[in-house]
Amino acid sequence: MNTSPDPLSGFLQRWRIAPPGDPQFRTAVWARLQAARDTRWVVYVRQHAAASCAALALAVVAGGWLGQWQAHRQATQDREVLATTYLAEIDARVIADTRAAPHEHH
Amino acid sequence: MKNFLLTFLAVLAAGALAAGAFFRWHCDDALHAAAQEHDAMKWLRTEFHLSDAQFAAISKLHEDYSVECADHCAAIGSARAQLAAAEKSGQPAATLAALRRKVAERELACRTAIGVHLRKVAALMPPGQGERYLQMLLPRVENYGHQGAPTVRLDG
Repeated sequence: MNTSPDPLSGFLQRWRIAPPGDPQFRTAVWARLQAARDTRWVVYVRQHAAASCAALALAVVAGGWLGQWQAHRQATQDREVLATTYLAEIDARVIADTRAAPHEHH
Repeated sequence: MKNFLLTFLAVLAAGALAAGAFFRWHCDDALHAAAQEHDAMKWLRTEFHLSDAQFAAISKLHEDYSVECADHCAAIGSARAQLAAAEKSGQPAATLAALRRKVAERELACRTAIGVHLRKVAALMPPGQGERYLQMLLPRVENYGHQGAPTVRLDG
């Protein structure tokens, strides 16, 4: 059985690395971080083209539907007001109601 | 994060623009203006696509009918006033019933006259529009007794 000490262990204990110093290292790291931060919006959108297009399409469709619905709703309300006004002008029963209780009608 | 927020805002702006554009596209400006001014005759003209001649004829018909309408109004008002006075003074049930019949008869006469008037107006409208006009208004006139003043829910 070999009981002599392992030479590798001594070698590892003596091993030292002396890399050449890079005075620009820290600056370079910050520069890269800043570059990532400053990615232009157009570039960002291109990088996420599928998601951006999907979101845009969804917003346009939803917005369009909402606008159309709102216009339809307004038209229905307007017709209601006008039909009420029209009938109130030609229906003597409504006119009689109005005269009997003017405070209850417009 | 900044770019994400920018994208989100751009998408929101696009949605708002689409909503505004579609609203403008589908909005009936003439109808809305008439409603704002409570101008039923202006509405009649645009809603049923009346020509100048048709509009003039219908306006004349309305003017003529307003005299008859005033007579009906006076008759109904008088009958209702008599009924109210009789109820207040505690008249017998038979008297009240007779007065109620009188009110109902006068209201029926009024309803019949409105029906005739609306049909005359419809006859002056372009093909198809007259039917639409009657479908829109006649049920409301008929329903007066059941719902008080004529209901004008147009989507019903």
